[in-house]
Amino acid sequence: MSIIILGIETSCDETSVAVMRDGKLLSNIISSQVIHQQYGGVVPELASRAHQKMIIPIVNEAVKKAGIRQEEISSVAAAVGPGLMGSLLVGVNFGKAFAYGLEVPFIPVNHMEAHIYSNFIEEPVPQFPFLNLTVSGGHTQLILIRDDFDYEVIGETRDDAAGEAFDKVAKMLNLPYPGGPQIDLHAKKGNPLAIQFAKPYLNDDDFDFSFSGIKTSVLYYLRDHQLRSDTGKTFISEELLNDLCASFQRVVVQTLVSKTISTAKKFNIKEIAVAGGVSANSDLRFSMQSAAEQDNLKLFIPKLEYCTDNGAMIAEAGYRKFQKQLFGSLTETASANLSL
Amino acid sequence: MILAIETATDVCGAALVENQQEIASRVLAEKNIHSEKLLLLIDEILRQSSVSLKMLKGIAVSIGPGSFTGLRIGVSTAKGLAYAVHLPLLPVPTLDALAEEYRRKNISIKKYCAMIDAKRDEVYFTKYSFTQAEIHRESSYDIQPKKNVLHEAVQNGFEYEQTACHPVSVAMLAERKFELLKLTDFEQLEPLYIREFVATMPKNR
Repeated sequence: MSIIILGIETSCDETSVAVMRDGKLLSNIISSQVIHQQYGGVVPELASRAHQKMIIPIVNEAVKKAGIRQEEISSVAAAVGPGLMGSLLVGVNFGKAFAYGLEVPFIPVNHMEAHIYSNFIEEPVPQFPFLNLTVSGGHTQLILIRDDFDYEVIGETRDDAAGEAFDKVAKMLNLPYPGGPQIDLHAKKGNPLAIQFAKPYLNDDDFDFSFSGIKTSVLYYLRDHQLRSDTGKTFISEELLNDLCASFQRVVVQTLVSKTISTAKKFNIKEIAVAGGVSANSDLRFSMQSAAEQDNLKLFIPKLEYCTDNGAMIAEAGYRKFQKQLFGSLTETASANLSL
Repeated sequence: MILAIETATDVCGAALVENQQEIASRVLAEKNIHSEKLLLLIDEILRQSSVSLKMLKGIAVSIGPGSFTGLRIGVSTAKGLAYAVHLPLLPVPTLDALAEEYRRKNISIKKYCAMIDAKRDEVYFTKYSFTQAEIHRESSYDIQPKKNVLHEAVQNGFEYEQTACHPVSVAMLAERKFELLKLTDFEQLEPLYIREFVATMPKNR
């Protein structure tokens, strides 16, 4: 009999549900909440309300597109954290109750763990052991993955996450939310060597990151060149904007790439993987690939739709947990600060 | 038989009711345990009564106003159960359930103003009149400063003693008003928030 997993993801501002049969993805529906754009960031209460409204329609769509009957579902997996509490509560409580009603086990999935599994949704997949760089708006982590659910965080950011730096700089430049893709877009038209921003924290003896300094460097640059008023108005030509984005992005990407490669070498690991929202960044994808090739490392980066939050990665992690019978209890709940 | 869920306030509970008789109920009055305990309580009363979800006529849920977090948990859970087993959902306004709770315990009272703390010195409230077997809503679901609501209740002879929410009252009301409340298309159902959430624009630093 085949194993059919329904994966639910509601950690932040994406309501996403996927259906997977025996490890093969049948559907992955993602509904991104647009309401937050006007506020320049995710408003937690509004995100929670949108999840509440969309959860069944998205489950319905995912089940329909997969061409299965809901009675065929073997297990329901949902992200239980980390993330926004109100958002998580909708997915976890719906998921638990839906599983209970279907009389199948509920599988709690750590959202950060699921990001790692985004590289396992489609072939080819990394071979253990491998080094995983998770880069998102909330996290920047280097994780050594020894086996399924056997891993160790060996480095992480000491302050801002890489994605957070992207978002904050985009905000300084008055770019629309979400800022990451906007910076990427402008950077493509700019000169990455135009402005020399200080290289972030790079100590060869450890595996940690720091991105708050580069953000401040951009702010000082704008202030020193009188490109931004105290009220936040910016006076920047399109050309300079492109150069600023390109120069900022280059420093962040170079930091991520050099740290990842040097860590892989130190641990004598031959395969590396990148995951999380920032792995959609075109420069990171390109630069990591060139660097990996140079050092004969095999690189895995998920397809764009699996970089940002998605139900498919929850279903993939859920599928693997199902095989190991790692089921949750009726008292499973959400945890905003859940760590790996 | 109706299964009812109550999570709009600090009370987290579930009840089974049939023919206006309580079959089983479990209630915990504690902050921040709803997400963890609700499904467990539901499971307990179903097992204790040897009832399966499929035997139910519908699932009632207290839909607010009340704690945004509590309502999220109750409504998501009710949706998950009802959607899995193809049962109708019965959204019961929490203030109606409070009035029902008060009516059941105070047969002599004829006029009652139900209130739920809305924080910031405000209350969600609705006025009701009671006949022997039913509650009748006399005003809309509203939010006002508590002192104004109390003043007006006293002036117009409404009893206003605050009572705790109970899932049995949610179930009783849902069973009596089954045809009126039942939703087979509840896909996009949201809690009755009453207080609209106003997000402030971020300051441009």
